[in-house]
Amino acid sequence: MSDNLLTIAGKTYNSRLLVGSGKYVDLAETKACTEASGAEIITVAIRRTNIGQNPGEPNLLDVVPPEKYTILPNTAGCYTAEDAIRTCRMARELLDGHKLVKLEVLGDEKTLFPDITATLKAAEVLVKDGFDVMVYTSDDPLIAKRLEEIGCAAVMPLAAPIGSGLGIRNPYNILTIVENANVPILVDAGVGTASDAAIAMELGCDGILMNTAIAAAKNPVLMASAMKHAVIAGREAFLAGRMPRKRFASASSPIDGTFF
Amino acid sequence: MKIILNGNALDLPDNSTLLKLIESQDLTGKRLAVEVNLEIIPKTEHAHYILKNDDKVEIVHAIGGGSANNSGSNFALNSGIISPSVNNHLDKS
Repeated sequence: MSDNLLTIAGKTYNSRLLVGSGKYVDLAETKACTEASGAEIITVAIRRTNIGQNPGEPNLLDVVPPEKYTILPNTAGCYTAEDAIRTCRMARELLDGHKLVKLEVLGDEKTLFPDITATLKAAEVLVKDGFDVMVYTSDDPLIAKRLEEIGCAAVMPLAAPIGSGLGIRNPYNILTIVENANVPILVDAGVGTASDAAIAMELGCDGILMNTAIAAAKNPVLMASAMKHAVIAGREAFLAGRMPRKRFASASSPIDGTFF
Repeated sequence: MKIILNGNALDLPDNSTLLKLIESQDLTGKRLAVEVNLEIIPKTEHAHYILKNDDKVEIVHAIGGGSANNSGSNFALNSGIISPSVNNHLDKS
């Protein structure tokens, strides 16, 4: 089904689930969960190399190879536009000219809510610099539109605070953002379990990016699989169009032909 | 001469190239990116780029990360965010 393909910055994907590669116990778990999720876009963080420590240790990109997956470097941990821009440029060098990045500029440590003014500023610079920017933002429809107008490749409102697992806290805002958009809208952050993912997709979101909901589950590999199915189910339900809600019952078996 | 590599002082022979530094840290052939004094030095220039005393060098790689986890992942305990502006920012607010 062609309308089941996700297109971001001119590239198409079968999976609408994007996953982060953080918070796993080890690289084996990262690999197993990534594979179970069916995700094709994987976020990574850019950090200092561990100088002088375990030089032979496996690298994340060995288990999530760029030849197989679309690597999405993110600016996680950046609290200024300057740091975020710098991180994206380092990622581009690291990944041989790779243009797709996830921009997030955080406002404070307690909420990890985005600093919107800094996010807008960084987005403008990065778009001008030739990056394809997928941007983490609040669930404010006006800001989402503004980020689209700046030229972001995808807009990714939070559904609840990062790592909170609180689910889709303001479905009406997410719906408004989706209805207004001409670029893909992906829920980024807040999903806690499979039903949350299905709800986001039923609202018409183009995809979901998650990390903690999988990594912090008791069985992360099984949750990765659950999320894969939830995203597919939610997308199909959105395309199918749900029945209207009715206050009273409506029998589904015919009344004619009863023998009692 | 002395340089600062990823926040730590390091003694290097004078006129060392960036490539020599990378080799000395057992990072040859790894997928990484290098900044000297906030300027990215492309891979193609590593062999020619000659370091100077007091240069600030950052060598970064990709690690596990998703939606903003400040701590990074368990297998990169000693990794740091490139610049510690978090605290500066919080101090101002």
